[in-house]
Amino acid sequence: MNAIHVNSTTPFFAKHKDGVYSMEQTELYCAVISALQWRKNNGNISLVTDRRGADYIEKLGISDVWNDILPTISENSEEINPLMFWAAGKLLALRDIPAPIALVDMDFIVWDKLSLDGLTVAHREDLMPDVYPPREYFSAVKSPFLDAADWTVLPCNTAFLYLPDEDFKQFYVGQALRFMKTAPDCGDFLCHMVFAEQRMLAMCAERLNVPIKTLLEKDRLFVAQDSYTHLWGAKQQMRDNEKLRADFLDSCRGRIAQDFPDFGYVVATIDNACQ
Amino acid sequence: MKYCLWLFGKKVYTLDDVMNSFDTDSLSAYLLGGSLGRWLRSIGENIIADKTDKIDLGGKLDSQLKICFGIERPQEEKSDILADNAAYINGAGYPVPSFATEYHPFGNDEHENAAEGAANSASAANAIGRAGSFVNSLSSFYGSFSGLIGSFAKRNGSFSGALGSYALGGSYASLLAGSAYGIFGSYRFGSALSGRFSSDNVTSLGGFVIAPNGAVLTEKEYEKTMINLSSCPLNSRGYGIHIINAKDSKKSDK
Repeated sequence: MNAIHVNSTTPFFAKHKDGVYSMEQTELYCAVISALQWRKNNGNISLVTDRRGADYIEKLGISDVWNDILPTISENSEEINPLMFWAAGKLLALRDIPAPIALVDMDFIVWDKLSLDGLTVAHREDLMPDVYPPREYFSAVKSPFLDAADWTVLPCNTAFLYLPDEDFKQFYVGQALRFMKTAPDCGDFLCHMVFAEQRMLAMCAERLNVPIKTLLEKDRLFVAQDSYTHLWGAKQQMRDNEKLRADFLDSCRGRIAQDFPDFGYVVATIDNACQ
Repeated sequence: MKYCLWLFGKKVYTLDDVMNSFDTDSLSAYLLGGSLGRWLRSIGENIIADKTDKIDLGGKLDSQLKICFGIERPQEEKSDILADNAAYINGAGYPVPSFATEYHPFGNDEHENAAEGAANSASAANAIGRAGSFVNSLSSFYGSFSGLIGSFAKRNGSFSGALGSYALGGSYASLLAGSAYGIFGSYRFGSALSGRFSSDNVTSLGGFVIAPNGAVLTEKEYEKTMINLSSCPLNSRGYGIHIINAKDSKKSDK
């Protein structure tokens, strides 16, 4: 099963026009383990990024962690507001990579060999009104599709997304990108983004009668399991807590040294770069 | 890359299919998503694809799509027809044919556009206003969420310190793991809970859940807390992070 990691630097440069791009040490380590673990059990994984993202990884010297680096994402994000739609790069990447394809977030690790036979996401999410507001919130976006959509379907967490079918993939990506390109700039950095990426997926599947499977049950995410890691909000925790961060990094170093000795050099490379 | 379009909820493979179920809404999505031209070329309709590539994405997509697919005439052609028609009428003194009224009201279109623009602006302004209120309610949600955890902390008595909105997971994990600001609070969380269902860290006994530190929660309290914690997508700490630790994990190769 082919997979992609996606990293668009456009949101960073939208915030820091003349900034120097870099990824956090915790993100780098997790991405490395995510890629190597995928290759070990499930197949090839490419890093789909833009030119600046590719340059960063290449200069860092860890590009062979992935099977290949594809700098195919346009740096202007096709006129999509990169601050509101900070994950638009994922949709742009999906559009251009043929199905079947698994999109794995760089902070998500699949520890097992997967055998998937249909549209699959990490898990569902509850319809928290603060995060997933009703249709009226998006009233400036005129769309018969949205008017007719089922607003009761539960959104999908797309930290992992397996799209086996090109027809459905193009429909979903089209609807999501259309939403991003027609939504007014309103300074909302959450609801619009998660709507376009996560709720739209569920609505599209519902409209086209495509069943959605999940890797995890949403109400049991924090119950013990040994199959999936998702850093998610822990990234912020680690920013706030140096000890937590240091312990996490040690765990990552240990995991790479033990399971991926051929990539042992990555540890020194990342540590030197992040000093 | 081969794919079909979904128009009016049905798969469409050919240009004839498109013309027979001309779904401008879905076609607009494919167009803005950047995959309409690619599809048209994949079925050999390069001329139409070239036309759709030139569509003004900031303009009215419905009518532009109809023009590209030959369903509607472009404005210049309409003007020509009107001019010819006018000349014909002036010359021969015939009454205006009915189709002229159908083609003429471009002015009306402009009015419609202007009205629509105003409506859009109003909607956008409303949306911005609402966004503000959502932010407010978001803040209050997190406030109440912190309150929930806070009440657990008080009951347990082993917790101290402020709860940042992103610190919830670690804090609650610490509560279960038995250290006020436990190292790796969230990472132990998975393993601490594992006993609840399968292993030996947390014990389920007679309707109570006993954490490793001896804290006792009723199963109801426990389940309720788990559901609350897991249903907040922003505040959720990660999960399965303990697996990375090669020493502790069952996933360890050696």
